[in-house]
Amino acid sequence: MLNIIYFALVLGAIISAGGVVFLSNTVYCALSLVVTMLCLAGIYLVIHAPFVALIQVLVYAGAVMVLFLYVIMLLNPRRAEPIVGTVIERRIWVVILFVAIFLPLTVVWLWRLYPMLEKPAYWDVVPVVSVATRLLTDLLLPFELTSVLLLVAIVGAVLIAKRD
Amino acid sequence: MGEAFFGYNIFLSMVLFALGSLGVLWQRNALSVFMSVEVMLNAANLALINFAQRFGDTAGGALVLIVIAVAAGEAAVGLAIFIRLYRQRTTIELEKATELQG
Repeated sequence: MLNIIYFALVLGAIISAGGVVFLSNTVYCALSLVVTMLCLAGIYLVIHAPFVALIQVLVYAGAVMVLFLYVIMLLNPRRAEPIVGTVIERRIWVVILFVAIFLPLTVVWLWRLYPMLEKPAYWDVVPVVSVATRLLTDLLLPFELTSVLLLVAIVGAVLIAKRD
Repeated sequence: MGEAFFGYNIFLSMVLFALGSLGVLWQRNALSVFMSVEVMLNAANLALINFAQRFGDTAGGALVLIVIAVAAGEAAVGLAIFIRLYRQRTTIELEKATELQG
């Protein structure tokens, strides 16, 4: 049962990510991305990381995607102009590059990582308390820097987007 | 239970990262390119959580939270830049913004 759910989620994630990459309508892209993020949240649940799944749905599929859709509706991008020769030529090179990156990765995966499909030594639900303890002790500096970064991002976004 | 999916998660992470990088070069609209970058970030998060669970290290989960926060900030600033770009030239087609091209 868990197998079926997991592979359905994987399939959904790959198909919807393909939608993000290849659809030409920006709104469809954004909705497709929401599906990708929800599928990944489901996978986090399956691999016993419920807190990250919660954050994924709340922050990513919720807040960030609302921001995206808001900007899409604000800008209302026109239909893309017809594809010309240079675009086709570029896209052929992109596909060649994609194959050149992806094939070696698959080879490495089959060669070195596929044997690791056997049972790993350790696997357990990571409790939220231990993540929080880690975040507030030896990862305190990145944590505090993140808060400064978010403040800078808020001020910067307002400053960039406001009319002169 | 979840340990059976360790290798498949790595593969999914690979596929998503490769698809995201393909999308960055394939799409012509700045917003779509940005969404492809988000796909790549999600792939990195999946790999991070997967290995954190594999080795029982709680730092992985904590790092993922930081990555998500940084991605949110990045989205806010990036979208603000697109709004500025749109206001200056009423398009966000990347082929129209070529001042920095050599």
